[in-house]
Parts: sequence; structure tokens; C-alpha cells
Amino acid sequence: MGLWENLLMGFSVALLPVNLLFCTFGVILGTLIGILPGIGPGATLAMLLPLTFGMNPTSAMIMMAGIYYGAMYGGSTTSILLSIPGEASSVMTCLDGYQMARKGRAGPALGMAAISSFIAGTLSIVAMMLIAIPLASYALRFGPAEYFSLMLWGLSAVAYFQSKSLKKGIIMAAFGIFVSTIGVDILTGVGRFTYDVSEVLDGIDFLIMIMGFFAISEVLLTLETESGREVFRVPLKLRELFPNKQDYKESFGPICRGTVVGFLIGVLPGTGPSIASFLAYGLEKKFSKRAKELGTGIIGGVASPEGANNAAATGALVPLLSLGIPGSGVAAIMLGALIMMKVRPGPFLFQEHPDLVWGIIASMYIGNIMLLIINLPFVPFLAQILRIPYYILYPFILLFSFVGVYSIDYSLFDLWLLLIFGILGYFFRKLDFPVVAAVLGIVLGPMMELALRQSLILSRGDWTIFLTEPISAFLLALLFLTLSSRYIKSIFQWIYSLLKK
Amino acid sequence: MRIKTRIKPIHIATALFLFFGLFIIRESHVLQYWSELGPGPGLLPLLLGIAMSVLAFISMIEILMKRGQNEEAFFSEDGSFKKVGLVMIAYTALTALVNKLGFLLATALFMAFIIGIAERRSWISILTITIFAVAGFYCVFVVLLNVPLPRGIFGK
Repeated sequence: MGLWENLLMGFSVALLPVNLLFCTFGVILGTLIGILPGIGPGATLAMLLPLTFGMNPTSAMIMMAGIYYGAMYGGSTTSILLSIPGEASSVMTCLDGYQMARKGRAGPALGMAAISSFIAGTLSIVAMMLIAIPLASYALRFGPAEYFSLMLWGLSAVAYFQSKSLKKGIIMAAFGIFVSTIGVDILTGVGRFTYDVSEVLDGIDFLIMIMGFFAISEVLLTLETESGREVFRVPLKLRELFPNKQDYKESFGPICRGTVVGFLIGVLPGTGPSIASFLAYGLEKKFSKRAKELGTGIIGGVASPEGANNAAATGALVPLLSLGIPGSGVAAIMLGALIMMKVRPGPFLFQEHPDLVWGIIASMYIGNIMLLIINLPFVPFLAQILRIPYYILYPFILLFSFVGVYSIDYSLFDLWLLLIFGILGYFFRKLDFPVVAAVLGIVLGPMMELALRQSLILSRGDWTIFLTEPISAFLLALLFLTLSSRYIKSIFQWIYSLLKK
Repeated sequence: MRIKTRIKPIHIATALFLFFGLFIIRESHVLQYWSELGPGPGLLPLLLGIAMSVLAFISMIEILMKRGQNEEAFFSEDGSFKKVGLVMIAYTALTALVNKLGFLLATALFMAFIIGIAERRSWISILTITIFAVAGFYCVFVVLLNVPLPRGIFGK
């Protein structure tokens, strides 16, 4: 089937009443989560994962995608109204958004955040459609060696981008992969690191690590940094929500730049909406006509990062759907959900589950329209959720995680593991050890090991297979460039300084 | 060459990763690295253990060699870590008691502890939020979603 036929098929799936319902639920919940500081889409998806056990995979993924990009919309609300970013991806919006609110222009700022998110989100969905299919078709040529190299590169990229220290990132990735090896080895039936504990013979469910690292540790960290903040005060009357003609004119360039930067960054594994919004804002400082005024309350300073974070959220789904490699921590959770629902992620997804993939793509078009409709008039009302004090919210987050993990296998052992991962996650994040790398490691670990062992069986123990296969060699070259880019940059800087002297 | 000797949490973390990596290497030695059929169950753990211990060792040396750089305190100085500690204790107690007391009673005690001790709220807040939490979880998880939560002292 051609592109348009597939898209129409996708719309026929996305427009089913049950999927529309889940899309609506997802985008509203995502907006609310985005508005609330202290809880992000990662923690929300982690808590909802157990609830998706009995769901249709398409409906579950539509809901999760809705939560993901919905959170990008919602995150701008508190950035603009209170200078408190609802999400890490909305930090840059605080700079100009809050200043606009102080000048009495909160309405146009909120309106432009929604419009910019809509335009960037829609354009990036088109780009995703155009790129994901050829990428998936190309990836069908991948053998075990290529898959192993691809996953290795993806993990390394996450390790590189998620932490100031590459070593810490790789240590965490190794930790995550190690946890995935605990249990009975599928190929040989040998127990690994089980020590006669029957509860771990089947391995450790990645959901427990995801809940511990994302939900529990986030609560603990927020408690430490948010003490003293009680109830948020929210201004209620925001009548003028629509930007004027001059605002649209000034936002055109930033939206375009934000969309391109955001999408490209989002496609890269390990980056995600936060980095995209930082880079987009940085780009505005170089290319905007009003660059000197950035930070004082100009509309471009809102339009660019908001467009970028939505474009990046969509971009992160490209490697997930086409290659089975998540582009961000949240996409890693969605990958985990696919595995849990017995859907094989990777390039075969387009062939084996076209209704799921195209259903998600079509629902994203619908979801973006819903978000624009919801955000423009209703955000001042949705922002009332900020009145809920955090001291009421976080015990519920902890309990939801508790019940969520218990509902996997009704095992007390899992609850102890959740506690351990929660405390470990807290300390890891305090010490700048990126937990996303560990989560990616535990999710990709089994597939990586299988690919490694298959490659070595095919090559009869010859490790050069990873270099003699062209695609694998290319991916390993990318890996080398990624890992050494900081050092290469330092070497060039040193040569430049020598030449200057 | 002076090496900073004051032990910080990052030193402990890298040391723990180093020993953990060495532990993995040792344990993977018990498993086969290779068999007639190909790579064995010990191969990947061995590679992971080597990567972890080497990188942790290098990190530890780098950290020890850093001199007098201004670093943020690990725990915030306003005492908010005490709240974090109390929440960890409460969560541990919840996990330890849930099977014995049952989920609903354990949840009630957990919420009361958090709101009353960790957050130091009024009795009205403690009662209201605790009752709301217990009722809410019962309705959503037991009644609606049919999740068999532990009953503890309230029977099987």
C-alpha cells in the first residue's frame, strides 16, 4: 500500500470511538502532567504501564503517545504563568514566557506556545511519515551484527547525551544490561546471578526499574528541592489568548527553526525534547532579528523552544517505530510497553502491525488538533490543578507505583526491588549517573545479547564480523565518533590555539 | 602530587561500581564464556563487568586528582533531606507490613505518617487525606480493576 492508503487506514483505526477516547484521555492527562511540576511523562507512563496489560496495543500506544506530546504542551503553562517549568523541556520557555506574563501578555504567550506546538508537531508528524518508512525498509536488511551495532550505538548516544560524564553514562548502561541478564539464560537454561532465589528465575521485570528510577526517585528528588513551596497561586482571568498579527509575523522564523532543530535532535537516540529546546533557543540567539532582546519577553523566545520540544517528542518516535531503538527515555518506556504486549518492535512493525503504526501516526494528527482546541481556551482552568499542594500529590504517586508493581506478579519481592531501585535512582540522579541509560540497557539488553550471540554463532566466533559487515561497520564508526567527539573537539581547539599563537 | 583524601559520596559510588564490576567478572567466570554451540551465558556479563570496573577505576582516579573545586553539598543545607529520609522509611515500612496488615491498613498508616510526621500537617488534613486515599485506592483498584491487593489481617 502507498503512503496515502496507509495513512487513510491509520485514520480509520484512530477514529474508532475507543481510540478517540484513549487519545483524548492521553492528551488531557499529558497536559495536566505537563502543567504539574514534580511529575513528568516518564513517571506517568511508568505508573500506567501495568494498566495497559489487558489493553489493545494500538489503543495503549495511542494513549501513551498522547501523554508524551501532551506533556510538551502543558509544560509551557507554568513556565509562562509562574516561571516554574512544568517539564525540563519547558525551561527555556520560562525566560521569555514569564517576562511576557509580567508585561500583561500571558495570554498571547500561552496562545503562541499552543500554536507553535501545533504547527511543529504537525510538520514533524509529516516528516516522521516520510522518514520512518524508508528507514524501516532499509533496516529490513539488518542482520544480527547490524542490530547489535545499532543498539550499541543507541546506548552509547544515550550515555553521551544524558550525562556530563560519558564514563558514568556507560557505567549506567552496563548496569542496566547486567540487570537484564539476571535470571535463566534462554539459550542454555543456566541460571545467572540467581543465587537460588526463585523470584528472579524469570528475570527482573524492567517495569520495576522504570518505576523506581522514574517515579520514586523523581518524588524523592523533588521533595528535596521543592521544600518550602506550598500552594501555587494562579491568575484566573486570561481573556486575550490569541496573539496579534505582529506576533505571528515574528514567530514564523522561530517556529520553522525550532521545528527543524527539534525534529532532527529528537531522532537522535538519547537526546529528547529538553536538549532540543535548549538548542533551539541557542539558535534563536544567533539567527533571530531580535536576538538581543531574547530574555526580555519576546514572542520568538516562546515560539522556538515550544515548537522544538514538540517536534523532538515526535522525532523520538521515528527510531522507535522504524528501528525499535527509542529516541528518548519516555520512548524507551513505550518500547517496554510494546514488548510487554508481545509486539515485536523494529522494522518489522510496519509489516506485521501496520494498523498499530499508522494508527499511532494518524492519532498524533488528531491529538495535535485536540491539544490546540483544549489548550487555547481551557488552559487557565486546567492550570487550577496547580492548587493541589505537592504534599498531597506525591504520596499518591508513590502508592500508584507500589500498586502498579504489585499488579505485575503479586509479588512482595518485586515491591522490595521497587524500593531498592527507587533509592538507587535517587542517589544515581544526585550523583549525575543517568538513569535513562540504565533503563535503556535493561530494555535493550536481552535483544542486544541475542544479537551478539547470533552474530558470533554465524561467524563461528570471529569478532571481525562486526567490522566486515558494511552497515555494522558504519554504525560502529558512528559509535566511535559519538564517544570521541568531545576529545576530537578538544584536539581541534588545541590545534586552533597553537595556530593562533 | 596531592590527592584529595576527604571521602565524598561520588568516591563511594565509583568504588562501589568498581567492586561491583569485579564481582560480575568473578561470577561470570563460573558461567561458561564459550561452548560448542557458541557464546555462553557468561560472555556478556564478563564484558559488562570489565567495562564497569575499568570505567569506574578511571573515574575514581580522575575524581581523586581533582583539586579544590567548588562543589555543591550532596544534601541540601535546609534540612529537606530529613523529609526524604522519612519518606524512605515510610515506604520501607509499607513494603514490610503490607502482607501482614493488608494493603488498606498499611496505606492508611503510610499516609498518616507522611502527612502527619513528614509533612507536619494538622489532624484534619491527616484524617481527610488518609480516608480519601484508602477509599480511592479501594474503589479504583479493588472494585473497578479487580486487583487482588493483600488483605493481611482482614482475611484471605
